[in-house]
Amino acid sequence: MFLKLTFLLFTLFVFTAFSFAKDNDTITAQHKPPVREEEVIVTSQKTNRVNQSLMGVEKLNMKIVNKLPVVFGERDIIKMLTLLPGVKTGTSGLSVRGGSVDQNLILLDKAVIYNSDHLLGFFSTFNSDAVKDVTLYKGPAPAQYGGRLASVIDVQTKNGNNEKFHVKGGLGLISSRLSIEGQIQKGKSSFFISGRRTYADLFLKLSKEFKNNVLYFYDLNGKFNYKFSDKNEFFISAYYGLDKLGLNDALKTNNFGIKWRNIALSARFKHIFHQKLFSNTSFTYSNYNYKINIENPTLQIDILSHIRDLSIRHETEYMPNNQNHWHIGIHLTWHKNNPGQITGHNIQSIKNLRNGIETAIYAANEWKLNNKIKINYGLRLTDYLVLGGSNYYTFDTNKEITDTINRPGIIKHYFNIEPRISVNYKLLPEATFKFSYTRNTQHVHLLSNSIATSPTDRWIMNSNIVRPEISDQLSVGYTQNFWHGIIELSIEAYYKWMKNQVDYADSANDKDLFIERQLRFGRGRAYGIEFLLKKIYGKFTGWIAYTFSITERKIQGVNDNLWYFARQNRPQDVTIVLLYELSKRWNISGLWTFKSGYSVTFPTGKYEIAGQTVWQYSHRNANKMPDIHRLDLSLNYITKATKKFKSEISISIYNVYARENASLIRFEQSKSNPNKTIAIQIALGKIIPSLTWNFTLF
Amino acid sequence: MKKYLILLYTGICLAACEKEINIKLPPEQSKFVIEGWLNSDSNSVKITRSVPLSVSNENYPTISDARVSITDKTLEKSYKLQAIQVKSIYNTNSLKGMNGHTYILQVQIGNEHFNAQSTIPDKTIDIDSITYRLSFTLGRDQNKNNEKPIRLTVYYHAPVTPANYFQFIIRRNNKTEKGIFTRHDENFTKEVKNFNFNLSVTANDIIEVEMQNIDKKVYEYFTDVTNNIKQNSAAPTNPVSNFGNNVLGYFKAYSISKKSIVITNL
Repeated sequence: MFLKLTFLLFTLFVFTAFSFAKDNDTITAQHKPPVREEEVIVTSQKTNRVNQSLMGVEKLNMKIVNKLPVVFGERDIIKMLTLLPGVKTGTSGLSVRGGSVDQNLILLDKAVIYNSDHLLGFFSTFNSDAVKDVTLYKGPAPAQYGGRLASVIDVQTKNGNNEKFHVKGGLGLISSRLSIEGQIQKGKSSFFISGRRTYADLFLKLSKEFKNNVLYFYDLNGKFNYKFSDKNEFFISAYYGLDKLGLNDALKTNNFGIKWRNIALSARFKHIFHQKLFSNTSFTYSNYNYKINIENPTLQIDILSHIRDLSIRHETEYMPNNQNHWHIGIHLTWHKNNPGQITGHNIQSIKNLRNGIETAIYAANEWKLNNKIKINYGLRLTDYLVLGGSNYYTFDTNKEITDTINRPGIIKHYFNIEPRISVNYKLLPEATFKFSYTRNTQHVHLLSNSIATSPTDRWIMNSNIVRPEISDQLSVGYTQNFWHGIIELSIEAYYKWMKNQVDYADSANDKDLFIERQLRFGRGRAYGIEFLLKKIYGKFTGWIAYTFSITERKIQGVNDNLWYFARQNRPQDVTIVLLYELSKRWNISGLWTFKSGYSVTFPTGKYEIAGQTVWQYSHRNANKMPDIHRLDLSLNYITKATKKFKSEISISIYNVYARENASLIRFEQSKSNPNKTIAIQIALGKIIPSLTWNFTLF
Repeated sequence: MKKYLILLYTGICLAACEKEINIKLPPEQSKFVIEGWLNSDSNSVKITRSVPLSVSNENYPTISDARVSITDKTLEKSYKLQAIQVKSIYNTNSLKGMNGHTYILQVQIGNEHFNAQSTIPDKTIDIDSITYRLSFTLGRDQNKNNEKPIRLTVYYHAPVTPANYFQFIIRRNNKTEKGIFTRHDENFTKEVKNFNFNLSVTANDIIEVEMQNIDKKVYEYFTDVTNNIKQNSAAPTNPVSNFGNNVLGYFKAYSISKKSIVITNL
């Protein structure tokens, strides 16, 4: 395999050298005239969906994002994505088309982000002030993307404004943010910096019961770009985010702290050979780590886990004529992972750092066959190398270690072919029919055994025991515009087969130092249909999204080897979003959402052991939580803008009719009548108002 | 963990709520529940059934016509257990558990047969000493009844390997503290070892600690039970019983060590 790799690298090197040599063209590359970024997206939106040859793609309009009602005054990109059909909130992240929360490839300027949430999902990792655009692929992504089964969320940050200097920010009740952008050398280089911090814990200090609790996060985004010439441009972007959560009960006998950190760095060099040929070479670095500290009478431990990626990607785009647009590239990632190191009172720590290399080469073409048919086709070849130099184990059915493997070189490799094809057929000028088939593979896996983001979630990679996850997705769709593009209707249906899905065994010990012996493997299937009706123009805009979807798993040794609903199974999902421009200065927006409760396992009976009530369970996830629905409203006022200053005040109310939407249900004996068993529902947040003041200095 | 989530949710929203609800539950499938234990002094097997959640805890059905016996596999001798004093509790005076022996509990109810195996560890491990100190508190020092929180430490010694598994029963003035207290010393690196427990006490309380040295399977069973009660897992299942899948409960053969202390200065 190393030979193949060397050959690939050599070819790449030669190709690049050859490309540089060819760079004698004096034709200057075409550039778009400098426009404000938001405008570009709005205008291209009009005919975007109908003409796109890719299915299941959503491009977020940042202008709309900034008008929607929000919790805590934060415009949250990840939350906005959940308002689209097919995207739901999972336990700690997004579930796209029935996938689990680790099956989304979240990219920030092409660097991978492992945790898309701050603070258990109340805020997302992305400061919307720093974001230029977000594209979501709900499955059929072109061959340039790979490594996750369910979706690609491609976030691009803003380049600094290379003409002027701007300051922008917002002050809110619970969080605040500030961005500065400007030019360093006029027309040549610019920068963008933004930061954000929440101070929710200041409110907790007011409460006697919670004053020992710590709750904050902050994040920083930076971008720098330098234009060497009309043909060469260099970009570098950086992200740093830190979350800290500490819960200590009033007696300080039960302490729990969790700290997690995301770092992403991306350096990209763009070279334009000529109008028809250009390339991008990027180096990215991601580092996600967390540390948990638990202290109570039965357990005093620290759990550390991290995953770190270093990657290089080279892609060439070639447009020989108007009918073809090729993307050809190679992508190599070196993963370093510590799945979980435990230290503590009386516990020996085992540090088992593992290494793996994910390699991919791809070629994809957007081919305009004729005026009616567009085909996106491509092939991605991936090979995952499990590298030695640390311990790998094999286990028997009693979970005892039967063999320890530790040798240098490649322990095992997994080769996969991922074909991608997407066909777009224009039935009528305003109506298109689409079809696609995609295969994706995934080499990093998140093990989760809990109800919400929990200390014991751990990232692991492929090994001698864990194989790459594979999914095949078939989808069909129909889109039609009405009233000259003002109203858009789209319907998509999909079926997804998944292999090598990982789950914990029944009664697994999720703190096991040898975690692989607690895992079981099997298949998954997900299918559904999504409807989206959008009005894009006018004083009154918005959309209605409806999704019906089912997602199931069948894991060896779990639930008697029968199919069961995955936790994130929520068959019905309705979202209605409305924005209305009352006047130039005032606008209001509202959103209403209804979702089926997620699948859960409730007890079928009870009995006593050692004087305690113990719950009897039968099939996994055979029940569901109560359905949830809520209404959010927001009122925005734009103050009179001067040449130098512009501001906006935004009042939001989350959950206007204060419905108690269940997030957890537990069973216990009633305090007033200890012989009676009752069910208690815990609802997250009743009515939450928030106030934010956003400003821009020119 | 759930407690912490609740604390967090309450904190961040300043308005999280709990309320009692009616919920539709999956159809009931009643199973037998067998709690059997055996040590060097006594033994007992209790047989009941599981009930739907709507039934009162006072009404666990009792099974008084089962045929129960314990076989000492090492000695190849069987003993019959009878329910004499209490209808659903079977025992025998002729059997005293011995260190290192493996025992099989056999229960026949109607046409169904259940059996489980458990081994008493080779050597009895004794409690060396018990100490206590006041726990750190913030705010209130005492709750009602003048109780104060203490950290109780139980010392014993044993070779670094093999690992030992324990279940503790703590009695305060002859009343058993509610809860399941299991511990293990798998990763301990020294011969002198200790475990900590949280208790609320008042002056002159007599605290009796019973340390049961159990086998690994029974330890795992009780760990599963603790997790089951806490309801923390996203995918809860029944604790893995040494009886197998068809019946709930366990059979625990163990050696025992008891020690008492009196709470003097607080």
